[in-house]
Amino acid sequence: MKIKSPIVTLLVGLVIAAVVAALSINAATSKHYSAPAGVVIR
Amino acid sequence: MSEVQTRTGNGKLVVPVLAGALVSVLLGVYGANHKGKSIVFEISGFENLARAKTWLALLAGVLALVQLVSALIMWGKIKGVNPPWIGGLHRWSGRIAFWTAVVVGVFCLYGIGFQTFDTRVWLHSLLGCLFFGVFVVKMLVLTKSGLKGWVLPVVGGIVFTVLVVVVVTSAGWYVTTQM
Repeated sequence: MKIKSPIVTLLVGLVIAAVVAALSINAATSKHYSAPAGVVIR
Repeated sequence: MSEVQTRTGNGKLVVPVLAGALVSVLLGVYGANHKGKSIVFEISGFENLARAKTWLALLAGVLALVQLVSALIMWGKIKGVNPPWIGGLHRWSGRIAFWTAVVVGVFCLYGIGFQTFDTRVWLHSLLGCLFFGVFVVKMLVLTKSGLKGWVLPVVGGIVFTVLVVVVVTSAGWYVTTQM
C-alpha cells in the first residue's frame, strides 16, 4: 500500500517529536541536584 | 454539481478538521498540565535553550515565506514565473518548516509548558498548539480529491498566518528585546 506523502510528512514529524522528547526527558531526568559550596543538605 | 455531491465534497473536510482540532486540544491540555523545568537536550552550537529555539523558529519563519511565495506562483498569482521545480520547492520547504517547528514545539511544550503570564506568551502558547492542528488539517486535505477550489488556499493561508504569529511572538520578540 502506497502511503501518500502528506501522511509520510506527518509520520516523520511524529518520529522527530518522539526522538526529541525522549532525548529531552533523558536530559531533564538525568540532571542531578548539586548544592552550591557551603550549603548543607539535611 | 448536485446537492449530494456538494455535501459529499464538504463532508470530506470533517475528518481532517476533527483530527486537527484533536491534535491542538491534546497539545494544549498537555502544555497546560505540564510544568517544564527549562531542561531539554542541548543542541550543539547554541548558547542556551532560548537561542536554540529562536534560530530554529526563524528558520521555520523564513521557510514559511518560501511557502507563501511558491504557493502564489503555483496558483498563478505571480505572473511570468512558473519553473517546473516550484511544486517540489513548496513541498520540501513546507516539510522542513514543519519538522523544524516540531523540534521547537517539543522544546517549548516539554521544556516550558503552556504559559499565560502575559498576552504575548498566551498568544504564542495558544497559536503554537493551533499551528500543529491546522498543519494536520492541511496535510489531510491534500489527500482528498473533489474538494472545492478555495479549500487548499484557505487552509494553507491559515497555516501560514498562524506560524508567522507564532514566530513573531517568540523569536521575533527575543531578537528585538533580548539580543
